Amino acid sequence: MARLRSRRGRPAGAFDSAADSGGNGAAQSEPLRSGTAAAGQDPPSQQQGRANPVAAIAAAADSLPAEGSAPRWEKVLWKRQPFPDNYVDHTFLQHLVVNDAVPRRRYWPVVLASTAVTQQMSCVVAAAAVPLHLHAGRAGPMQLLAACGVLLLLGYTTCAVLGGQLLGGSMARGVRQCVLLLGGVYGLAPLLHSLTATVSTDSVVALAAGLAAAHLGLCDYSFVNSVTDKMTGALSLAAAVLAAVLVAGRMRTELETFAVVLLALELFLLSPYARRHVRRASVPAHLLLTAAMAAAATALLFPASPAGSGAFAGSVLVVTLVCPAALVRGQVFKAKISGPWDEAAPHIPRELMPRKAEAVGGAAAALPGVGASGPMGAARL
Amino acid sequence: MAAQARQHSVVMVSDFFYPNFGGVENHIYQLSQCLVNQGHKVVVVTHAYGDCLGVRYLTNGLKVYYLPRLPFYQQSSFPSLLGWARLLRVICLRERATLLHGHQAFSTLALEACIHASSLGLKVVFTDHSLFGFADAGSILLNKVLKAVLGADVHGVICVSHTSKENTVLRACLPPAAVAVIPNAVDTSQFTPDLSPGAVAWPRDTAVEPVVLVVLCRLVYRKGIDLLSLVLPAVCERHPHVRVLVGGDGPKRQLLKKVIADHGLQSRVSLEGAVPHERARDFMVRGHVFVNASLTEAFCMALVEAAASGLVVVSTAVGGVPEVLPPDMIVLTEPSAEGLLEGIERAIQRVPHQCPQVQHRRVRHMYDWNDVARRTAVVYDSVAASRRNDGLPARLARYLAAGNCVGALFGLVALMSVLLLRLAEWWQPDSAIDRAPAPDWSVPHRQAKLDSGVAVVADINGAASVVQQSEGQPASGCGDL
Repeated sequence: MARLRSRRGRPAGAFDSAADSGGNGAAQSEPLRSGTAAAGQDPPSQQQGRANPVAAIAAAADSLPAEGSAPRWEKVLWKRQPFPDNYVDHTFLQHLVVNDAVPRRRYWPVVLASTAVTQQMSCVVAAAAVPLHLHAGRAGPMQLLAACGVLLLLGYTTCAVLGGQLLGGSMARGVRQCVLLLGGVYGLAPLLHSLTATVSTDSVVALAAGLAAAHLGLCDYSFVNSVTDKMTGALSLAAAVLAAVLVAGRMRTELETFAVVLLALELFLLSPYARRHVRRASVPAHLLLTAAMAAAATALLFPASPAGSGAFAGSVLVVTLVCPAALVRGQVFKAKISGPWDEAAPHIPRELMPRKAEAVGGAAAALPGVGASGPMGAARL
Repeated sequence: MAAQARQHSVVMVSDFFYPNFGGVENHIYQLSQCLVNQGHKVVVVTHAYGDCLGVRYLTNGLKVYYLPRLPFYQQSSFPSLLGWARLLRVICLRERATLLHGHQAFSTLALEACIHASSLGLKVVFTDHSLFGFADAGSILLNKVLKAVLGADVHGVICVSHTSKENTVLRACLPPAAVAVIPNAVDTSQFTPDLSPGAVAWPRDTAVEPVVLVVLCRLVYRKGIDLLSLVLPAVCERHPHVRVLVGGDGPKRQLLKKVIADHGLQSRVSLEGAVPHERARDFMVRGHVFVNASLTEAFCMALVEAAASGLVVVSTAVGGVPEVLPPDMIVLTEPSAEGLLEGIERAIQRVPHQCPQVQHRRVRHMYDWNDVARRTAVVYDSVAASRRNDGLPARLARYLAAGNCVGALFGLVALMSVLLLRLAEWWQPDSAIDRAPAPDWSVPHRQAKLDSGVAVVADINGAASVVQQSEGQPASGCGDL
């Protein structure tokens, strides 16, 4: 049987007869004779003077009254049994199971899974660095728009090639969805430009930082790791988009605003699907992509803030190497206790849970065309 | 043994008592009455329920203190740690208490009373009535508190079933030999089969004669109402002569209504609403089969009550349920829709062969509150004879053994409790507190006292229907409606 108690979980000293002075053990382990025990029968372990409760239990097991066949203790309440009320049978905690459904984690698979976090952090840093460059004049909006176009094309090609089908069903539909996305954001750019005009830059920066942290905290990493099939985490997406909108409002011209918002949408809304395809296709390509993204983010941040880019590189190393080690180490202390006292978890079918039925139905519909309807469908404004 | 059998003066403390209805309340009341009958002195301390404030006397002169504590969450009072230590001291001195008995881990009043009673030098016994998990934040917190309090202050622990004992031992890290298993019981004189001429006829052929299923519980998720809603349409479809009576109220009532409406079972399944505990037996004897679909139970009193009333009992085999009745008196099923359906089928087949009176007599021999009281008195005897070091340094050491942070916190609380009680001793010395006269409840006095006390008792019964149910107890039985 696995260790039931961690080192911290020692029984409180009251009953530890070795710890306490004064021979409390004898009184403590005095068997509480059931009031209805058969009169002539001397209950087991009545022999006293034993300070050790364990010895008393052993005596109970050994010195059963010899009356023909020794009565066996049964785990029932409706029968009066010739055992004391505090009798501990050898079958005590027989059905205890420790850590039955807990996966054993190994270091390198966790490192591989942590690359999703690295990728997301790179997205955030890139989305933060680009407005800094625009603001400082190191880059122009047209360059940024060209980069966005290239990214869009790359992403689309990746999804189409690796997903095995064209997004939206046909080339014309794909182009139409692209045009809708671009047109929609372009149309909203003037509105977004003047949205945060009255908010001070400090507030914007603080809010954006907080929202970026919330995004990283709530992001659906298991989707990118192709563990699940449907992208959840609407709250994290909303946080990221809001942060981008706030920051884009600081730009000088509407074209810059348009470019920043478009980049943010591509990075946070569309790239998870492309990255998921890459992950599913091949692991080396995924690792290469992660390294490229991290390097690109560091390089992007470097001209704006060398210290920041150093900090980012350091945090990437910590997330990739140190945190998985901590997680694997922490698994040793996990003790999931289950037994007959657990609340039963019966399988309740979907019809009785209306909210879950819609989510499940949505996932089932999205499954065949997860790359197809996902990005463009979501971008339909 | 004869030398050890002595009269104890017990203070029972719990948040859950009449006029609230539930398993714990019933347990405390019945246990107190039987202990009084066996010659011990019992006083109950609980928090005020609405207008029910102050000192009341129940049957047999059972004195109940309704303290001015604020009920906070599901009838559990607001934890104030030291707020009522002085009050408890005065009560214990006035009643010449030798022992304190706390009930239910969910009751903050009971846990605080254990700490203060230990500071007062009383012996402490604790009874746990429910099963708890280990995984969620609330359970982890409560288990840690329990580990500190049960390890350091409590001298003896009682659990209501063997599964509950395993659960408590794991939660509070207790040595198993320190926990006694004393089951609940049922007042079998109240739960009898209906033998009057107007009673529901016991069918001899279930294919043609009507069979009535009875469900009586709170309509909450924990009682398996979802399972029931899956099973009822299937049962009604397979057995055209089956009718279902569902008693009780709760959040899942809407679900049952929806299922009834969807499958057109209005004539077959009737939702009777909340059934007060005193009418539970009359409700149950209208049926032949009692169905319990709970997902977790430490000791389901409702099953024993139904068995005593002569019904065929079907239940999911969760928690302590398999220990409660012998296999020929209960049909145990898996906690799933298919399992429950199959169990109900087997129960319906048992109905023609059922002898309600024989079953009632068997249950009468199995469960008896006087037996429970006798076994509890044995625990009291052993606890009173305990020679454990209860001085403050030893208590602090025991708290620290439960964990560093929790130990420090509770050590601080215990220290402050001791100081506060010293202050109270200086402020209001022992000699200044009147002792309550030892009541003489022999028959002639009893009659006179009852006559004068009848108004008070009726007042409580009248106010009884007011109060909200104690929702926070996973293991309450038939009384939860």
